[in-house]
Amino acid sequence: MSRLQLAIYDLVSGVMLADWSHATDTAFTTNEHGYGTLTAFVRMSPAEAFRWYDRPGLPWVEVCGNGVQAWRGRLEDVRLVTGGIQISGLGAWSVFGDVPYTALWSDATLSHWRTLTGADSLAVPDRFVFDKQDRLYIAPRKGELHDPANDGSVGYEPPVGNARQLVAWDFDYELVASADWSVYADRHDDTWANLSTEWSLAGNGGTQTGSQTLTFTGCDRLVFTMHYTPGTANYTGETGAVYVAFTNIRVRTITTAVTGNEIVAGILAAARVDNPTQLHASTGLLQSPGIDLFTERYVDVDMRSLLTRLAGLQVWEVGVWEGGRVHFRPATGRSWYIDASDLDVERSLSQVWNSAYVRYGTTMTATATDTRSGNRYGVTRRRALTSGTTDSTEAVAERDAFLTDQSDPVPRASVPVTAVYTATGGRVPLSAVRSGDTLTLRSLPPEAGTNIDRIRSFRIRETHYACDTDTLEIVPEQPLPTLDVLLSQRAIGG
Amino acid sequence: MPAAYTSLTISDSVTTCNLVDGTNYQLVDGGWAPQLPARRISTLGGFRYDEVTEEITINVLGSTGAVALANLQTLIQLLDQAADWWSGGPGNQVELACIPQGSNLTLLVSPILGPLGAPLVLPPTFNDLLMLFEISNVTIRFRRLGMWLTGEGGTASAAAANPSILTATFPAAFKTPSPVTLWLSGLPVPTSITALETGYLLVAREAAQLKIINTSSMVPATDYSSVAGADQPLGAAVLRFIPTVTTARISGTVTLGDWDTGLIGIVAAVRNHSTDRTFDVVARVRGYGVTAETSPYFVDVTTTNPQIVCLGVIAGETYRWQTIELQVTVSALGGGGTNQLDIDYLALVALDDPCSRIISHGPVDLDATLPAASTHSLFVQSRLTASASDTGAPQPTPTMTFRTSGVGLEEARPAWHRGDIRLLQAGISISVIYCGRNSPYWRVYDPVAAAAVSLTLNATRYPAYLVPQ
Repeated sequence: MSRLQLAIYDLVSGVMLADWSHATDTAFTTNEHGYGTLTAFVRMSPAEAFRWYDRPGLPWVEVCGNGVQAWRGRLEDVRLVTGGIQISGLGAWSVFGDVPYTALWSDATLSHWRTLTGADSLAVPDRFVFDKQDRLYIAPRKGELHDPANDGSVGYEPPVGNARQLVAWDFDYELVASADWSVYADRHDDTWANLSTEWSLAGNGGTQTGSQTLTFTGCDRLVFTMHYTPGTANYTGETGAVYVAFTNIRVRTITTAVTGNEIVAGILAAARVDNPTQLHASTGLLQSPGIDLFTERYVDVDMRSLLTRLAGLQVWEVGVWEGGRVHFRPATGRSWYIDASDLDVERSLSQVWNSAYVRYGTTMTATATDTRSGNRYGVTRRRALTSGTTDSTEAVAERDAFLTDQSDPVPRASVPVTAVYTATGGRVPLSAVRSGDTLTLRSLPPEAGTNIDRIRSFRIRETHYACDTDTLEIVPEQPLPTLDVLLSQRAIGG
Repeated sequence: MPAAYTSLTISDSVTTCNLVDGTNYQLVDGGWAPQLPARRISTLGGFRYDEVTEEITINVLGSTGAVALANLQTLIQLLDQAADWWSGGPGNQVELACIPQGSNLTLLVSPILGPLGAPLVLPPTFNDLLMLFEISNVTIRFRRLGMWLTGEGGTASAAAANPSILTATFPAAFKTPSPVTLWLSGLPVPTSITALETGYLLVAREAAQLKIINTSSMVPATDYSSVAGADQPLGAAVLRFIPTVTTARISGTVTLGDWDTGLIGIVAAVRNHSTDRTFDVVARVRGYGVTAETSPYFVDVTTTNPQIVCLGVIAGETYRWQTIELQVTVSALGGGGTNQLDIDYLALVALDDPCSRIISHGPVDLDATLPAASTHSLFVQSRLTASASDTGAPQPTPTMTFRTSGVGLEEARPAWHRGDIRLLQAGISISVIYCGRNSPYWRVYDPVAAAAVSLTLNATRYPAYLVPQ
């Protein structure tokens, strides 16, 4: 089996700048988001060292062997030291930390609706009563003068800096008014100038209710307006006798369901605006979780945090592996097998949660309980979760994902890894193991179950591989806080 | 009195310090025995054996005291120069050369990598014998490569149309894996092929460790068919996958025969005709009840031309593989004729052997960078000593280049390689498959000659020893 190559590339031209396979003290890591860090010392003459120190541009580091990539990332730090340079690299996931993300995808809250004033449009708020208590409510105030040029309006504002235009609008309405009054749902531009009316309804003296799902050409603002048609007149009715109330309001910048993969694709596109070559444009590895996300409005958020949150909604994985291609999908990974010759495992119930509910908005989901886990451990441990969503489907998905992940304890374990094998017994290089893979201990007693409490089989959260010594350190998923390292062992591979 | 070495020198080919000439230098009794290297543990590049540290104790002599001091300075300069060369700086390579008594080989050399700390340790009696023109018991300390290398031996294969298994056989077998320089000659002039796309070189000890499989025979199987392929596939037909479901479909099988290897590296020629469908391709190898497979290779929509890709490495306990098949999954279904993936061939290499490799080169523009009045070669050079057949200086790191032939070996441009190109040879032969292509073809095809290009494998090896012979 041949060895690994460490080389430096210009990402724009694809040109290899240097083959640093003679580097020493080389180590690299992988984590739940792909390639982690790489460090190495490269011997070189002082002149060459200064050339690398002062080189413009952002070279990329790649470690590969036999056509298979073992690590890839940006050459972030170059330090001049005696005899050469010390380099550090970060995987392509770090690209998502370069620029903040501001975007509106969907908003089902009322937080960003506001009463319009004369400075914005024809609105005269003093002549109406408004409220935003679980609804958008507009009612003419008793004794005020009303006319067609003085409306009562509430408008939606996306965050400043948002580049995504509004294209869809969902709401329920209840209109109680005479034929003198009408309500409108209008598109506006970012100066609050009216672009078009997408929906309107005139009063009929009774109560009119219904639901609307509107799609339209992109715009920057949306406005609900209550309008008095006949001419100038005092409203003599009681305040609240005429009103319109909008509920279940949702604005979107996408006409289809707002799913995680769509948002990840949007983040990828945004990241590529400023750094177009560092991530592959392909969205082929972005899968749809099928959950419509109702409130996804971001202002200057860290893309990495946002991506991690989106993946966590359904215990998916998001990251960047080969070729700079971003993936968003159910947890995948290869399976490897090791022999546990010096097993030290401890099971703790402190991390077991086999029952849960989620509070969201002003309500909560039903409590779900994993009966199997309850029977196995003889105790029901219930966790109350909170969610920012307003959608029951999303809340239920979060609850179920939590139970799936927490109904068995993560072991505190220490397992010496002397070699790694495939399911068929083939020995593979330790450098091939990476985050997301599953390790199975194949030397446990045969009477033990096939998946006993995540001991026989567990996912790897981080790997730390040192080339010089051919040693691998492994951290399993969700290390317990009381342990510095849950599963780590230096081992010399063959 | 112990017998002297027949030869023991430190030289950069211009300046030579003969440590046993008795005139300028004299090895003290018991002053040196060569250190043996350990097997190198690091998995990153480099050599099969660790570097070693040598300490040689000599007396530095001269016809006068000043000459003895000058000889001392010459040694220091050479060791300093060795460090420069090893770190990529200016100056010739410096070698330790040795012929022990009774040897029937020519000079064995081992490149020096520089001093270990201070290059020399001078005795307290440094000044005492200078009036007798001698500095006694001077210890030279330096690092050198673990291997001792001897003269080169070259060979070449018969020419054959690409891709095919090319085997160059040496006059005699040599057991220790040794550095080898190889080059594929016969790439045509730029007027007929102006650029090469990304290609792979599969290297093995012998032809039996390589296989090329025309995948068009992997039928019948649901959603797979064998169709006449455009753009000069390896066979007249390619294996076409037109999915009717988005779940995985497994192709028909091809018999490998009993193939003795634990690790198999697989390169494939694939073509995604779709501009919006992606495919996951998995190679599955079966043998005696065991099935092993590569990780899914994601074929995106970057191009609708053929592309050469590495599907990965298969590891299995069995050493008797019998059949191979493919498993393909499509991302989504679509109508029309572009919802399809073609696969022309698979190239396999047994990777257990330390001489086996998969290395690749990036796209190269032959037209713009190399003179037209010549053929071209793909050169993988890991030479560490002077060579009669290659006028370039020995380099501390190996290179992979496209070179002109007949114009001058220095006419070269980097191939932007990926993989460990510190090639080794053991046994009597070396074999390769070159999986390359020029657009829009499946392989390296000369449209002027209307034929797949014939390539010849050339190899020069530098037999390596762990102790001077």
